[in-house]
Amino acid sequence: MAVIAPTLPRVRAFRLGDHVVAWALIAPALLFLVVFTLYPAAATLVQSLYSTPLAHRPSHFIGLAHFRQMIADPTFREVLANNLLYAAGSIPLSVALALAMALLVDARIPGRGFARMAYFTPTVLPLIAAANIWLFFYTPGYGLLDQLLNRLGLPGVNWLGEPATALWAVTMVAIWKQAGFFMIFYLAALQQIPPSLREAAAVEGASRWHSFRRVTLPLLGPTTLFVLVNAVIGAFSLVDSLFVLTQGGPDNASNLLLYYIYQTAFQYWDGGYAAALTVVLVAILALAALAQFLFIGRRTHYR
Amino acid sequence: MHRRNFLKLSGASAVAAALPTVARAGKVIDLPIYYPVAVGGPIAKIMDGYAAAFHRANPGIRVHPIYTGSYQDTTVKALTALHGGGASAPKLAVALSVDIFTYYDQGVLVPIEDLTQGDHAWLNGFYPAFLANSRLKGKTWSVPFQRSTPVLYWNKTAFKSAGLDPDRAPANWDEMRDYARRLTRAHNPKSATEWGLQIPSSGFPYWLFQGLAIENGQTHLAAADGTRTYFDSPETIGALDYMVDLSRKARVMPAGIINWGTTPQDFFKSRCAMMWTTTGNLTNVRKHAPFPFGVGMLPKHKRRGAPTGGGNLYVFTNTTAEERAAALRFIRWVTAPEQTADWGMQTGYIATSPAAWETPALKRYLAGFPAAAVARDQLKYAEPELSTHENQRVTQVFNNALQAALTGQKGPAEALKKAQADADAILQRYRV
Amino acid sequence: MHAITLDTVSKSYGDHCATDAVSLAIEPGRFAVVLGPSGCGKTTLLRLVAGLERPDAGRITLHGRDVTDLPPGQRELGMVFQSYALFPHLSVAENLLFGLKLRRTPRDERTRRLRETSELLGLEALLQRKPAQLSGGQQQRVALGRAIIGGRRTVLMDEPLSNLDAKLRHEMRRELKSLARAFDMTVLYVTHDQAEALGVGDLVVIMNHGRIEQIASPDALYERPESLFVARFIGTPPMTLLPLGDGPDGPVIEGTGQRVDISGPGAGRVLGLRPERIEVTEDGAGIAAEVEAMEYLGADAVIACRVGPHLVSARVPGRLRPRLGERLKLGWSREAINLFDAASGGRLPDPTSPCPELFTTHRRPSCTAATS
Repeated sequence: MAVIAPTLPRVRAFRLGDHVVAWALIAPALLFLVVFTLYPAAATLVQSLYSTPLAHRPSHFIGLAHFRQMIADPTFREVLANNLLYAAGSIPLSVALALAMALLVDARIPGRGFARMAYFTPTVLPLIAAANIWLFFYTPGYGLLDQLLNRLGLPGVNWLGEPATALWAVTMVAIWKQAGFFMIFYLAALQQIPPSLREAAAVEGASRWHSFRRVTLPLLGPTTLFVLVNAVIGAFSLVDSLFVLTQGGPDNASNLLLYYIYQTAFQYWDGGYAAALTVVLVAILALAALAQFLFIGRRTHYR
Repeated sequence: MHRRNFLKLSGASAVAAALPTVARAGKVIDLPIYYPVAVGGPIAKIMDGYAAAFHRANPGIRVHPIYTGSYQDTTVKALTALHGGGASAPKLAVALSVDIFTYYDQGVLVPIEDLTQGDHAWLNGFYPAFLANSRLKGKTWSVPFQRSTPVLYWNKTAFKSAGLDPDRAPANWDEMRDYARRLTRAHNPKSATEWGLQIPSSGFPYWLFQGLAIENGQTHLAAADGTRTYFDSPETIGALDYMVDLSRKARVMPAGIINWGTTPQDFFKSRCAMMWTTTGNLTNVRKHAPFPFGVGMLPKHKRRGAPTGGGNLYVFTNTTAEERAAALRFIRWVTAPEQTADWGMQTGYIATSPAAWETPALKRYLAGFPAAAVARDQLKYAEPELSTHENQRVTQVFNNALQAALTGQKGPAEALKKAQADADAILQRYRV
Repeated sequence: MHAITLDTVSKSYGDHCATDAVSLAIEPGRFAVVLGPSGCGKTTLLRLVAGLERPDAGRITLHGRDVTDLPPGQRELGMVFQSYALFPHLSVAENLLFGLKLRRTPRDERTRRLRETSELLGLEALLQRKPAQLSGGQQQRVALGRAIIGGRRTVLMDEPLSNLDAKLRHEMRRELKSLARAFDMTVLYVTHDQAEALGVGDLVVIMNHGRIEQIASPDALYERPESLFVARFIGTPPMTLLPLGDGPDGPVIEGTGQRVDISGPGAGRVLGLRPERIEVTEDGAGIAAEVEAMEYLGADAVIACRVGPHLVSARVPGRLRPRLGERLKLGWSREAINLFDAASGGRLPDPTSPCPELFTTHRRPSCTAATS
């Protein structure tokens, strides 16, 4: 009678089997995580502590020398400051614009489908293609912006060629590119909010603005958190447009951390220093995500 | 013969008979070559055509041209593939002549002298100006292939309406500035163009600036061994003073950074009357300029001058002895006068050897389009392009200084002194 | 002055006419229930009063004030939504105080009202909880509390009990009614559940296809339906409706030869009888019928009897226990008779009405039919 077999050994055998099955089940995911995330991260950290190998000078351990070099590197300070400005400009504006567009296309307006598509198009476009479009907007003389300025009788501006405007010109592209993407999340979240909540607020005497601020916005909290995390990551990782628009110039005025890492790794072939810069970038992103989860996440209502 | 007889003997064993051919075909030497596309035109088609023609002439060797993006991308991909190893790594590449230190410091280059085994007199057939960027430590590390030099293009219609001789380029700095003033609408309301001149300064402003530096007497911006730069010499500073003044004082050139890529467009749209750009744009301008245009040498100051530019052929250390011999065969074939002349005519690059200019084909071409000879004639004043160890980092430092001065962030002297100090710091460890 | 009046209010969505020139007046303090099948326009009616929809035509007044063009917030209404519509991110207390804060009610009054309302509804212990931490019944109370905390005299309720289980629903009905009476509120209450409508309302508005069929007290509605639709819609089992025809001796049940003792012609009229008003006669008089189905309910039993092509429902004492297939005679009193016009569906004057010409030959109080 197998049914009344002693319980204890069975359970033990089962546990062993459970472990095997459990490991087997997570193995594929774990493998990908190790191969594509953990190992490169660890390798980068190790690489940042070694000098860059050259044909005639092999790599050797140099401790934190790259990080000391970074502190003294004025370009690093400049790209970091630029990146913070880029983030400060692109994150709030793209998120606010996304929310505004989502509210607009969520409302019952004529041509809603077209508006939704139009707002989403920049997201589908590769950033390089988008940058090429903006390159035309910014072209001095006959670019779209200068044509508009000329119509208004204003002198043209060399948007990408002047240090004062280059970074903001690049920031605009990021906002334009990101806002449509974030809009989709806001639109989905808005459609999850039962209309009766807004109606209940209206019956209680809430104005549209009040209803938005006290009801809609808090309910969009989780979406906002998600979008913000993505926007921060984007502010440090969406640099493709630099390849087309400014190459980080003039004189690093529009250079950003990731583009500087690219330059260091693939133009200067200084892998060690690039690894150290990458470690800093990852640390910044990790801190930003952590801070958001701690400060906004705590006040966010999850349904 | 043998095989044919064998087949006659037994048609049934045709499949088996094919095997030896496969084995023999396996002996064909494959040479993947990475190449960039930096100018307009059907470059990929031309390259594939050369590979096919070479294979017809040399059935034992098959060259595989692999398009790898821009010059920058090509070097990134080549070095990454070489470090990663594997079968797809290139055996040769077309890369910037100034990337010599980049490849050399990575230890991936085979000197051309090692390929030729003594017989390298043919190298002397190239224009010396083009070989200048190939030589290091007494050896030649690359072979001139798609080379260029900056020239001045001018809009003859605009010249005429400004009362200038439409068939004469400005001869010197002062003349260029004066011409430009008359061609700038702010100074001359009758000018057909908004600006007199554009010298692009985005991306790699050092290259065109080097023309000014040479003309001002700074023949080399870096020492031949690539360990020292001359960014803060009085000549270099003087050249930058002149360039900055063109936009900031004389106001004959747009202020700020002028985009390299859109400058030909500006020229076609009569936004500027004169532009400095590569001779590689010649075919492009010829096709798109809606007005008669002239091509001239860069104007002289203390002397005439221009940097060379463009790409050379490199051979990598992952090659076997057989492959090296095959690579040499290909290099000699593709740089032979006929191919060189054809390449120049199809792309606008300067044919790299005097012998190529003597071919009937190029002579005929020149008769119909004399402007094509300007770049060649300028070669006797040409100097090597800026190239050092850690070339990209050093040129970036220099580019930043030029852009800082052109955008008014810093004075030319201040910017260049800082660039020199930064370059010294980078190059310090190579001075042994 | 009426608490709520609608004057020929129409609203349509595309081709669909949700309310069609509806007029309605409800006195203060009434508990008015709007009842009708789904899609009849009852929810639209409520939303029009709330201001959540704008009418295409007609006027709406509340306590004498024309609110047709006012937004919901200015109509001084409380509303309980079917889904409760509690703000999920706010605590119970914040949900209750939402409107008071908006209207800048002084803090101590807010505190007082919160205390009173939460005591009244038994929510004192739950004030700090979020809606997701409450049971369905508790959420319902919070929604109710939010509607009444501001002292609104008019409260709208959109199927407020439909998400509760049967037992809780029963309790809440009673509570709602006593609350409404205690605060002298005017309630407009929408439901599709007739038992709820009859149980809770003191005025029932029956709607069908965007029109009002009848407005009446629950008993009047049950006893004297004004139309065939209401007669069919109200009551479980519903009123038996027998189309009449003309026999040689007067009106007969159509499709049978059985006479009914009604004056006037038979054709074009429909006889309506509530099941509990139909008796099994002992004296052999009445209409012959055969028991086809029976539902035993203890005190009584509902039997379905075949009369020609028709089925007649009758509620009989449970002890009778008629057997299936048994042949019976059914009879009813004159007061039980409802007559409708078959073409218009409207109610015809009662045979008991004092109009003398309607009465000709019948003197017996028990009006039974004679077999022909």
